[in-house]
Amino acid sequence: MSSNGLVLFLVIAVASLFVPSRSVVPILVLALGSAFTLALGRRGVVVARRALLSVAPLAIFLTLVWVVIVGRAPEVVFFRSTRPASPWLSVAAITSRLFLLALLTFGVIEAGSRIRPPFVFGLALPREARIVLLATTSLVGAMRLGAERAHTALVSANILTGRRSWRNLAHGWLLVRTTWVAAVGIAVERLDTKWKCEDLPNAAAAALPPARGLNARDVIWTSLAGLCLCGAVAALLR
Amino acid sequence: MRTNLVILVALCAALNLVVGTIVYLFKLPVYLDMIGTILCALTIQSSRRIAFIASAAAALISFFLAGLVNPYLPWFSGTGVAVAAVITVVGNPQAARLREESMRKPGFWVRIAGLGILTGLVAAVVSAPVVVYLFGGVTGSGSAALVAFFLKTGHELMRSALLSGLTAEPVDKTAQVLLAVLLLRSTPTSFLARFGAEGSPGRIAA
Repeated sequence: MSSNGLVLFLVIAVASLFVPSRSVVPILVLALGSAFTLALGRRGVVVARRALLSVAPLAIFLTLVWVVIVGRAPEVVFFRSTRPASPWLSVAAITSRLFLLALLTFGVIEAGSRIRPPFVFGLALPREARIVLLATTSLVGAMRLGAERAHTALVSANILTGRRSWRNLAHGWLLVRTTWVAAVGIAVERLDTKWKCEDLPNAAAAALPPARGLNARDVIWTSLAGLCLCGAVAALLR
Repeated sequence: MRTNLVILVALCAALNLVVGTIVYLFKLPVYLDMIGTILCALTIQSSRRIAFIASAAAALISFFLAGLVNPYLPWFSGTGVAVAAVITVVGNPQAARLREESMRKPGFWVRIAGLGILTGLVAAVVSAPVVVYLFGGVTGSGSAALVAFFLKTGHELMRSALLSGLTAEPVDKTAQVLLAVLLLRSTPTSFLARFGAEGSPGRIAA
């Protein structure tokens, strides 16, 4: 699938989850998400595991709050007001929809990971937005490395510790400052020299892949997601 | 194309994302994910409209990219835009003072606390519907205990989520405003001058 097809599929599939209707649509979306994950082959198992891991802490907290402490169901479950029901059922309803949301998102990210260059750069966004995305992802890598380097230096200098400590709380901002000042220093220097010579924005725009239209696979998956959305809306209006 | 502006937005969005890594290195129980957004709104002095657009863009980009790791984060993009708006309207006119004023003066801390509390209140109001409608009132960590406490004391779900946010967000946002101001004070004047800070021609250089 193409970058734009993946995002369109995700938006429509997730939108169908949020239509506040009492219908079989979540099951349809589950089937869609499962089919999409299965289409990823062995990587689908990794996607499902990631989705489970992301929803597990929320499920634990929801159970603790609604079942153990409060002992009743929430008044709102996933965009729909509910009548009094079992807290277990409500927690299961919220958790299963959050799981579907995570499954679809991670599935799309996994499918997009095959696209080169990274699929976010192929999105049909305004030129400036694509350049900022490119610059941000590039700077994140540089800043993360800078932060790790500064962290090592500050721990070696006995200003910070490698463990949870009050000293980290008191002096931790030094690490943020070191990282920021280093990144700004690099940017200032390059803005006046290297990036000016390279004509950065135009060069970056030229390096980005062109935003392509939808292909056959995009149309098939997007249509299936569209069917789920139509089903949800129809159930809502009925 | 305003190269300086693009680089500032990218730097601030990257800062939003990287501070998450730093918090992890510190092993602290907080989420300082909007320092870049606040810093961006404070840095641009040439035009408040541009300051808002740039800081909102930094927030949206960082939430979008963070969503590639945590699929629930992009739902709080509205909070990022609201924080950008508050800081632009209230904090941006005070940026020069916050940068120059001595930290020993009580006025400096009053300004930081005022800005942080106001931002926290707005963030809590904007986040509450997402917390209720998407997560059933519970997003994990310490906020779950607060929501549980308010629910147990007889409040409705929406009110509990709002009260939980109003309790926790001002503390978190005050810390973020303080960190952003400390970074603003550390930023080289030559860089700030590109965005209309004092002593510069007052326009964004191309």
